[in-house]
Amino acid sequence: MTEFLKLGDRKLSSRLLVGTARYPNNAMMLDALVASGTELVTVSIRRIDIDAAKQEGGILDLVSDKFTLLPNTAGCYTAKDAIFTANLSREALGTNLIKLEVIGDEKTLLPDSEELLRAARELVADGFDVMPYCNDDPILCMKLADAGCVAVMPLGSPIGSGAGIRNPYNFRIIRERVDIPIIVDAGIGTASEAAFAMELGCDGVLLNSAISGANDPVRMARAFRNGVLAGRDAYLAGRIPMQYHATPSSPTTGLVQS
Amino acid sequence: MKIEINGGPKTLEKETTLLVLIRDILEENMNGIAVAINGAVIPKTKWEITYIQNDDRIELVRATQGG
Repeated sequence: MTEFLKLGDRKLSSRLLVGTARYPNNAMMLDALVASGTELVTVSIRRIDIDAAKQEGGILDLVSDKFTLLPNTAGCYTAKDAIFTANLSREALGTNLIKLEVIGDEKTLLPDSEELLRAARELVADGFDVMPYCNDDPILCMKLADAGCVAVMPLGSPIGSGAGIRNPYNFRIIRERVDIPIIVDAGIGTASEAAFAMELGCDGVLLNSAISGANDPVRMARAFRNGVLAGRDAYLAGRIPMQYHATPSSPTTGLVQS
Repeated sequence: MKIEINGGPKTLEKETTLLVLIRDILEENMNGIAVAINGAVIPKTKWEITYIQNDDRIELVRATQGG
């Protein structure tokens, strides 16, 4: 039986969400997106270069017929700017889905939780399906869920760091306390870390740099597809408990005597 | 008439609707765009009846690569 990742009224069979930025070229981006098995890809909203506008193509021509689009508010430092960007993206793309980012600091790119929560509440009230990129703070995630977000997206570690899941205990607590989908967003570096996130109980993984920056983005995209599937299966299957001492796996009776 | 578009100055010779202005800038390359005047998003259905005013600040955006 197929199980779906539910985001608002959308049902996705892939639990891997992939960004469209920083690939060596568009053809490789498309090949990697297909290899990843993703159905939902992130895009950003930016000013058009007025002088080059006639030649400049948007990303829509490349991806809109193959994938569902998840616009982001990347680069916003205030709730006001994020809400404005979300409204522009809804008009540009005809979707109420928004990956809400409100950054608090240029060096760390960590979220500004106060502004994020304010923006999330306003956007939910305005009919958006909000997916907030947030700190791995269980209390904040609970507040974002209470605000009506369709998912929470705690960071594993800083954006682009490839440092993996820095605080798995927080992810376990978030899993216990939040009923909406949890999607780890940012910091994943390789496929085993995506599998680990899924084993912790995350419902999905969102990443970009780990694929686009790999030596072979298409192969890495396939690795992530498999990693997410493996981690999800392991989570649902239920791992054996950890213990300090050994338990033999072969029968302990009928041993051969020399 | 002087306006600001995407942070840069622009002079319009005559009274112009938003639709005419956008077509002039983008020609047919209008997929996945949105526009705001003075901080308010203008729906596509209103472009034809929205006239640009002196000192308007216009944001013209498009979906692009992002993570």
